[in-house]
Amino acid sequence: MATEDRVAWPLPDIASVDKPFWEEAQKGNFVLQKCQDCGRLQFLPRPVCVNCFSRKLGWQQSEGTGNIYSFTSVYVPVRPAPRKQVEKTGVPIIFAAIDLDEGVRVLSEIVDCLPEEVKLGARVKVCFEEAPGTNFKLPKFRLIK
Amino acid sequence: MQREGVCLVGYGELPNTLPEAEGLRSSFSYLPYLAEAVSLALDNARLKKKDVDGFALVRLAFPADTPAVAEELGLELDWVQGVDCGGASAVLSVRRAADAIQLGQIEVAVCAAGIVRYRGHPFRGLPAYPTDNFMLPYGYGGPNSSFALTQQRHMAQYGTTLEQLGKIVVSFRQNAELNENALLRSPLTLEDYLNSRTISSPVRLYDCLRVCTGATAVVVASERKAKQITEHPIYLVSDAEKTNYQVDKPTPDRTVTGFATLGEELFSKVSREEIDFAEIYDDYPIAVLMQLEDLGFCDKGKGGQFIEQHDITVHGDFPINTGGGELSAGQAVGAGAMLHIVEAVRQLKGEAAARQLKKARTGLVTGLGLLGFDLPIMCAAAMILQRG
Repeated sequence: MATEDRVAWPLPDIASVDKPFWEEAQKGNFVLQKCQDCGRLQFLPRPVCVNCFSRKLGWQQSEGTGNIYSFTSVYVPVRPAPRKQVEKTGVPIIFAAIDLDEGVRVLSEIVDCLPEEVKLGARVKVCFEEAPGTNFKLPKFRLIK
Repeated sequence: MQREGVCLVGYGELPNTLPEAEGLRSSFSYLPYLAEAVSLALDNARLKKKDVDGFALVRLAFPADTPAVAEELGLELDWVQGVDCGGASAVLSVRRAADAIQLGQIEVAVCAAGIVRYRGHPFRGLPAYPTDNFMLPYGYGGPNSSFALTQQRHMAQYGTTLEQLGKIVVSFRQNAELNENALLRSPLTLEDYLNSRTISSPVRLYDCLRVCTGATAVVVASERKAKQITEHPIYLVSDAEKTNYQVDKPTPDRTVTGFATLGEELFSKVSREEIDFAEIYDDYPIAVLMQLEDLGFCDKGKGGQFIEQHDITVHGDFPINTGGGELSAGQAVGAGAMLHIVEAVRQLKGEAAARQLKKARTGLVTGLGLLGFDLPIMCAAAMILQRG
C-alpha cells in the first residue's frame, strides 16, 4: 500500500508557452492570454493568437467569474492518484467547462460542493488549491451561493 | 471530393478478443495479427502480395514507423503513408490511398490497423499539451469525460434522453449478436443500459467501448485493377474531411462537430436518401447521434427523435453499424475504426451472411478522431461507397 500512496498527483509539464500562467496561479492570479494585435483573449495559452496568428501575446488578469457551460462527475479519473482519491472517498471529482465573463472557456474542477448542487449555467468564481501532496497551486472554481 | 476510378476490393478482419492476461508482452506482438489481417484482405480481393504497391498504416496503435512495419511484411512499395488522426485514421488512410491511385502513382494499396492489448496496461494515447497540462491535473477521466461534457450539454440544449442514447447501444448489440467477430454478443436491454454504473456522468458503463486485441485491413485499387478481379467493384463515390472545426472560437459549441461542414461535398453525387446503411464511428452513442445531425440526416438537436423514429438494426429501415459497431464489436484502438470500412465493404459485396442487408448498394462510413481541449472532436472524416 505504501508505494500506492506515493503515486504522484498529475501536474502540468510546464513549457515556455504556459509558464507565466502557472507562475501567476502560484500568486493567486488567474490570467488569460491577450493578443496585442487584435485584442482577443484566449485560453489555454498558445504559441500564437488563434484568431489573427500574431505572436505578440500578453497577459490580462481575469475576474475569475463565469457560468458553468457543462460538467461531469468523474468516477474513474485516468491518472492513478485522482482515481485512488475517488475510490477512497467515494466522492467523484467534478470536472467542468466554464465560460468566463470575459468570453473564453476554461476546463477546471468545481470544488467544495456536492455533485447534485452543480447545474448548467450556475455562477462560479476561481479559487486556488494545492494539488494533493504538493505545494503547487491549481486554479479551481467554487459555486457562488 | 467526388472520386473517379477508385475501388475497394477486399477486406480482412480478425475476431476481436479481450486483452490478454498472459503472453510475451512484447511491443512487437501485433505483427502476426497484422500480417493475418492483410493476408485475409488480399485473399478476399483475390490479389497477391506482388500486386501491392502502396501501404498505409493507422498509426495510433503503433510505436513503429510505417516503412518498418511494411518491411516486416516484406512489402516493396512505391507509396507509403502513416496516418495519425486517431479514430479518423482508417477512413483517412483510404482517402490518402485514393489520392495516390487517382494520381496514377499506384494501383493497389493496403490500409491496415491492429493492436494487441494486455490486461493491466491501459492504453493512454500520446502525451498532449492540453490534456497533460490543463485537464489531467483536474481529475479528467479521458474520452469518457470529454464526451460526458458534450453529452451533458446536448441533453440540456436539445432534450436528448438517456433512453434515446440507450436505444443506439441496444440496437448495435442486437446487430453484434449476428457477428462472430464481435467481442460483446450477449443480449443487452435498455434497462441494463440505464442501470449500468456511472463512469463520468452522464456517461455510463454501456456508453463506453471495450478496448481489445484485433487487426483489420482493406484493399483499395484502381478501377482498372478492380475490373480484372470482379464484375461488381465497390466504388469510392465521394469523401471529405475536416480537422479542428471551431478551433478559433473562444467558446465553441461542443454539440456541433466538423461533420457539419462535410455534407455538401459528401452528398454531391449521391444524396442522403440513397444511403441504404451507415457504418458510423461509435466511440460513444452521443457521437453517433451528433454525426447523424451534423451530416444532415435530421435537423440539429433532433438526433434523439431520429433514433426513436427509425429501427437502426439490420432488420430496420435505417441500419447503422450492422456488425455491432465498436460499442459491441470492441475497439482495437486504431483497428477499431477500420472495422466500419470492413463491414461496409462486406455488406456491399453481399458477404455478410446472417446479417446481410436486403438492400446494400450504397453505404456511408465515418471516422472521428482525437480529443483536444474544448472541441467535441478534432478530426471528422467520411466517405460513401457504392456497389458498381
